[in-house]
Amino acid sequence: MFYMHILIHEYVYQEGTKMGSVSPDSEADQNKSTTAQRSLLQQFWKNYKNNYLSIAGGAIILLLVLMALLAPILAPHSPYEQFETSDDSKFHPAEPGTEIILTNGDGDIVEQTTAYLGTDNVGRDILSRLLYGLRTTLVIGLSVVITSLVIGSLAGAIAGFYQDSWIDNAIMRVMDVIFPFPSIVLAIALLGVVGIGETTYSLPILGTVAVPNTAKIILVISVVYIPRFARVMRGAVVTEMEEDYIDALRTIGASDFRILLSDVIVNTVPSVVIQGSLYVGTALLASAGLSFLGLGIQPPQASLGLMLSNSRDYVYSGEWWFSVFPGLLIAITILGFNLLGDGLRDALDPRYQGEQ
Amino acid sequence: MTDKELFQVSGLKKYFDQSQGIIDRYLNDTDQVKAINGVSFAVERGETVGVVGESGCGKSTLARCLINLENPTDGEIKYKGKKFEKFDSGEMDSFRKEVQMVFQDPASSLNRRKTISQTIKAPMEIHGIYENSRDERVRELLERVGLSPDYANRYPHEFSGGQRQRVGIARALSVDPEVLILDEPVSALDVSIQAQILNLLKDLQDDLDLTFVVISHDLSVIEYMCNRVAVMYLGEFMEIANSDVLFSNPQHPYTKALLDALPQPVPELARKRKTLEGNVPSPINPPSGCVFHTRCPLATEECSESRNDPELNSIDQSDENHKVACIHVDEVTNDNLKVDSNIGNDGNYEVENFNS
Amino acid sequence: MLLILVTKESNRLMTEKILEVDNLTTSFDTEEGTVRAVNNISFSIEEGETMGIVGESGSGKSVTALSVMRLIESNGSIENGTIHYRGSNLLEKTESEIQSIRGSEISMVFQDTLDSLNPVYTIGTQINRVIRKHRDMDNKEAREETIRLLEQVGIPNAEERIDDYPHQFSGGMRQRALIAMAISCNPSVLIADEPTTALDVTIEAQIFEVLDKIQHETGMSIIVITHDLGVVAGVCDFVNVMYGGEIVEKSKTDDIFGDPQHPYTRGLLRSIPRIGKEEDRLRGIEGNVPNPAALPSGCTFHPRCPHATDECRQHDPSLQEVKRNHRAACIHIDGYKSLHKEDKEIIINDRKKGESDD
Repeated sequence: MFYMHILIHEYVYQEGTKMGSVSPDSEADQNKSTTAQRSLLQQFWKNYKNNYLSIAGGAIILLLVLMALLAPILAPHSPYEQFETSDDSKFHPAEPGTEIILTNGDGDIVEQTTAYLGTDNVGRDILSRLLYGLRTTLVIGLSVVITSLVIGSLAGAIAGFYQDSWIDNAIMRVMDVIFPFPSIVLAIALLGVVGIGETTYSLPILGTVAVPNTAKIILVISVVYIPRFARVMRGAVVTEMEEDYIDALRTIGASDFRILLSDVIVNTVPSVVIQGSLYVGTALLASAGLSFLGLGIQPPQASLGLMLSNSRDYVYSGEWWFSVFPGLLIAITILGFNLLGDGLRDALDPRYQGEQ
Repeated sequence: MTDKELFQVSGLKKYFDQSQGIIDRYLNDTDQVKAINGVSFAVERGETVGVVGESGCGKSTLARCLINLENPTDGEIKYKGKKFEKFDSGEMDSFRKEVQMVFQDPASSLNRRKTISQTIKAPMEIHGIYENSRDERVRELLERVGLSPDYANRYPHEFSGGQRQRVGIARALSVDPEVLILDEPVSALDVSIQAQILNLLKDLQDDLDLTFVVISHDLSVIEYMCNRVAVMYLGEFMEIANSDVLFSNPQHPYTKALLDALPQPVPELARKRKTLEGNVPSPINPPSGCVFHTRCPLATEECSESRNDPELNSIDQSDENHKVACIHVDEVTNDNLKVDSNIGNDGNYEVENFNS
Repeated sequence: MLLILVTKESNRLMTEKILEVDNLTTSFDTEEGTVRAVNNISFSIEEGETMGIVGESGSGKSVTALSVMRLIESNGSIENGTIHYRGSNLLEKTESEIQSIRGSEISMVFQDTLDSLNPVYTIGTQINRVIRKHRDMDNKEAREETIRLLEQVGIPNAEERIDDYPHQFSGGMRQRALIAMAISCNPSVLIADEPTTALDVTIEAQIFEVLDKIQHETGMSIIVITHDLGVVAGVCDFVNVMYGGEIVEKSKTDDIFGDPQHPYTRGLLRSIPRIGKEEDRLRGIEGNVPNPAALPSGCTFHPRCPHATDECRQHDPSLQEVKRNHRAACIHIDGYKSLHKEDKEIIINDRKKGESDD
């Protein structure tokens, strides 16, 4: 995981320094598409669809999102119901594929069914918990990335736009303080500040505000990712600012606000979107890590990280299905987002075009 | 100061801080690049003023100061008799409308994610003109600069360099400017395309009564376009004169050296190219006295003394437009320079051929 | 004895043309299909000569140079033709044979001086390495040789500057260092691809002075590839004009500039404003530089040519002798007898105007 961060950081720096070195295409290239009129979106799709791996990534993500959305329909049971094994009617783990029974308070059998992926240590259906857990995990991963992308890239854009001014220094020094912390360590520290579980704050104007645990986790992990987006965005904006068309806009009297919003951000957003899709995976991993440490989503709510965390005690006792299924699902999700991110990068970033 | 004068520049200086570490900056230990070091001239309505010099001489910075993209370190620029700093917002608006710029690199001066039509419309939107006829105006402008109006909805990458430069010119024209500042308008283009753009600019000037300030390193472009020419070296004007005088009777040793080094497409002349020794000194620490003395064939002890930095002075009572900054100006004879258009051919090949 | 004499004689005859390129065709596979960047061109150069290849972007001039060096990228290939260097065909050589020729027999100076030098090694180290690869010298000898070379290309204080890094050199100095590297193994042919495009005119003049001096001292042949007709006029003995991957005109420099035959060459020369000549308009060339991936049929210049006829659209003309040692690829070449009446009138008017200007 740490190695992955290093890789991504390298990419961030490249982004900042090399974007400008994209050589202006030669006269020959310029002439190439004079014949066909093609919108940028079509261009993007043309580049994207030829990359089979990224198509696969997109398909995986689509499938996972559908699974998460349709969890109530797809899941055979509630994620909280405790089943007994049919042979000795005890709440202990059932192996995948074995018969399980659900009893009511009086000991009557309400339902008899098969646990395709087994049950956990308190008899809850793993398959159902996986689907609900995926839901929680995806919500956290995507929310983290969207929150930190929006805040981080706005901060980065302003810093880059006013490069070397006091505002740039102020923003980027704050980012520099956050940046070097390993994500989990910082998240733990921040969770220590805000506390675990739902908290109600009484605020002067808004009155009492209840902040649910999930929202806290999202905010905490977002803080970790804000500097990454800020840096990518700042780098992209700084190189964009060197383009002559920015000067052209200034000479026709365009305001800073207009230049930043209608021109600069439009051109730099692709690079943070690429970065965002790559960070969904790591954000997922961070939230899973927090759950694993018992600091994230709290039981009995289902989350993939929490399921993995629960399986910790059973690794040696032979209940392999506790850890393998959530682990696999996390791996597939991250793989999907990474493939998608790579594909987006290839299709959106001219530097990578033609290298496949 | 007459009504005819649009720009009046006096004692203009522009220094850039060589960006260094944060500590140096606070210790005030920065090197200053003296891009423009005391330049005075005027631009009159309807004329074409050229500024010619080698790279790093400060000519582009001068253009950026004229169009108020850079704030001068010292000295002042007046537009229509009023200093930039004294402009109220209405006057600034009309300055931004009346004075437009055409940039060197056509690849960078257009926003790659905006259609040609969006790019050309932007100035009209900012100045709130042609409210109801902008699409029409775009088509009109495209036609005016020699592009098909059907190209309006294409993106810059679908055009060749020359076509993009035409779009850049159309953008500048969209708000009916009075002055165009042309910063190396053709140096990024192929030779055969350069001629087309130069012709277009001349036509536009005739039709629309424009005033041009042309910045270029290419003496032949300057000679073709300009009425008056200033020769710049290391941030200072060496010589300023009417174009015909400057090219037929150059007085400053640097002007002569530039003309000698010019590769003309006439073998008899090109083989006689004379070499000016040495490199351009660093603008961080320009030579004392006359900045050209380190490379000047006529330099004496006197030239290097700092109190002897020569001012631009009229050399001829009858031609007050011809000013030279050289203390040896009387010694400069025209022996070593003869630009004789009769040598070689004069471009009318068909004639000779036709007769034979 | 006689035998030896004869062998010597035949050797001399063979080496007269040091580099001969015949019917060279180089193409690239791109998204838009096969692009023929260089199409059936032939030229040759003798010892001590300077030849120019001049053209606009996409004309194939740089690909020609890379083909001679066999440095074509993997998506390209030399489809056809021969490149004889001192009598042996370079296209039949193995990669290792070519490597020993590259740099020591035929070497190349590129345009972009910042990219051509490695920023993390000193200038001296980089030249040293080339010398020791091709010549039998130890480190100390190579260093002395490097200093001598740097002095030869006009770098002042060569003993000190040898340990400088590329960024400590100005653009002109880097170009000199690259020339020093290129001539370090006494090549017979030096190919200079836009050697001065990024430089100021005064520095450009210095660089060509250095090249001229070295040519006088070593007798090497130089191929100058450029878009700048002024450069060609000043330094070349003869010139090839390229357009759309083909050579459209070739002759001695004085003939090309004094009596150009091909409409493209004429247009190109008219496109450049002349110092000391009053011109209201430049009578250049209409239209755009063609895209190598979609070249026009027939004569590649016909869409921009004022004299184009139906025949031009269908028939791709080959080079034909116009005068002694002057060849052009245009079917209307016979003194433009087929010019339209209006064209003649324009020309006569221009001529009258030119006379009155004088």
